[in-house]
Amino acid sequence: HCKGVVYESVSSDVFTNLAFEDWVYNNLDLSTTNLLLLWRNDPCVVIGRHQNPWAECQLRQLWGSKVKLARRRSGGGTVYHDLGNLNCTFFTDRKRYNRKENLELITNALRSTWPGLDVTVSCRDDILLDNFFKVSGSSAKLGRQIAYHHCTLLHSVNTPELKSLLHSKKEGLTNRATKSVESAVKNLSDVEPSIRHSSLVDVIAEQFYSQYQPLYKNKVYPMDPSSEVDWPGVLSSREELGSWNWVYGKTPQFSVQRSHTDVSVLVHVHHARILGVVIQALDGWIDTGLIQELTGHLAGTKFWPKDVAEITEAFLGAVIVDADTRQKLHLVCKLLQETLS
Amino acid sequence: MSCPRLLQQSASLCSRVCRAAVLTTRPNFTKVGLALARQQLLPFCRQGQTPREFSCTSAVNADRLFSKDHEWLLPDDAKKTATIGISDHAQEALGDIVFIELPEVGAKFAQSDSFGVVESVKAASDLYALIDGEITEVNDALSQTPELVNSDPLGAGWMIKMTIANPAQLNDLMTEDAYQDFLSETKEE
Repeated sequence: HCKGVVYESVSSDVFTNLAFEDWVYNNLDLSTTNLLLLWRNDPCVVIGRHQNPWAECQLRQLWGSKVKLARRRSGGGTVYHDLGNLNCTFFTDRKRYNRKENLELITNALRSTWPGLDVTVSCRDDILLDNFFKVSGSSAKLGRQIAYHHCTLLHSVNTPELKSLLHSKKEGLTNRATKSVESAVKNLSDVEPSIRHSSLVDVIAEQFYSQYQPLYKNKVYPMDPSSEVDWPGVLSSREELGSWNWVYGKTPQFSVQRSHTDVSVLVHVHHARILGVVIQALDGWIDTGLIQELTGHLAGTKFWPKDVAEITEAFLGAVIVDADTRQKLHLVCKLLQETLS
Repeated sequence: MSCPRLLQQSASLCSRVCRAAVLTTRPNFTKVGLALARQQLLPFCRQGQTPREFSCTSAVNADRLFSKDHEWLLPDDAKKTATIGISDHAQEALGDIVFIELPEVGAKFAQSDSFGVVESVKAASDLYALIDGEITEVNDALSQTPELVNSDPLGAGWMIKMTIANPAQLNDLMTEDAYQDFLSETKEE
């Protein structure tokens, strides 16, 4: 009844791959066909559509590294990708959306080749190894005619890097964004050393074609998701997904606070722009007029180290105060900088 | 490039499919027939609606229209603006709602554009403008309490208000009765 095709992306750029998912979602008619897209990315942290990157990952560390930050279109929590992680996107007609079916396809595929592997699908739609370690997380996007469910599959990911980037110092941060649920993770290759990217691709595609009659041949078709000729509009989608406005600017309203003894700086941020800054200190600690001037300059600024530094440096450069007051202003600006990551 | 191609969506096909589903309780008609149907529908809607008892807290409103994607639209008395939300069936299917992404006041949409996204534990689902128009109001309470959509989808869980740029588009939607029939029919499948 329903046919199937498996594509494998030749790109390892997270923004290009996400743009291709968008393209399929917006363009294809899957009333009689299911599409399975297999892909992997160079090191990146991927947050859910409504999440807060400041709350979910160590941004300072990320900014100092080659790890990219992406925000996907689907919901859910934060994950870390590198070439040791396989992404599977199951595109179907809206009526055929079924996450459990897809996840069972994967676990059946794994067990058929590695019968000793204890992999099960949890009630949260995670795939668990030995009933404890999370090796896969899922999220999905639903439209009126089409839907997709995508999931990760950790086979040989750099887990120390994952743990250090996703361990977030959430102190002083309050927000309404979707929160991640932390889990202990493990690689499939820790238990079965012969599991690697190529063997997973083959095994999952084979299982897929045993369930859905091949539309053409039961092959994994390599495709270039950056081809504007094949997928018109994919490059402008890629540009949008890689833009500051999407990755950071989409962040729901939140507040973050840093203190030092009696002085605290509270920043209210909406769509990654400063709504307002509230500085709390003991009565008479500093001239409130000065503070109002500083916070006035900050309202509307991007919540971004470079932009805030420009404002504070200009302010400190222009203001004429005694040494003691200057020291206090420096403290306030230092606390402000600390809120930024 | 040996990558096999898949069938692309056809916009006209899509709207034809939507209309066919909506017309299960109405006679088939062409554009000319549409004008006639409108004359028949409006008097029918205004007269002969007996109030019914429901267990939900929202007031019964005979003017509430529904789409086959489980969204509702309630025009104001002057039929200048309409309130839009999702149906009880939709909120139940979505599960616990954790976040609702809504547009800015002033944003303009065409019928079938996505105006927002509702995130539940299951997925991020697109929300569709049912008519052409401009956003006049957004339910800010939902940013604090998205669960309102689960608990009171037809009342406090309303999502947006928008102008009705093209009143003829209201005919693309179905009455509450037709929607209930539609629900029973799809359950039987």
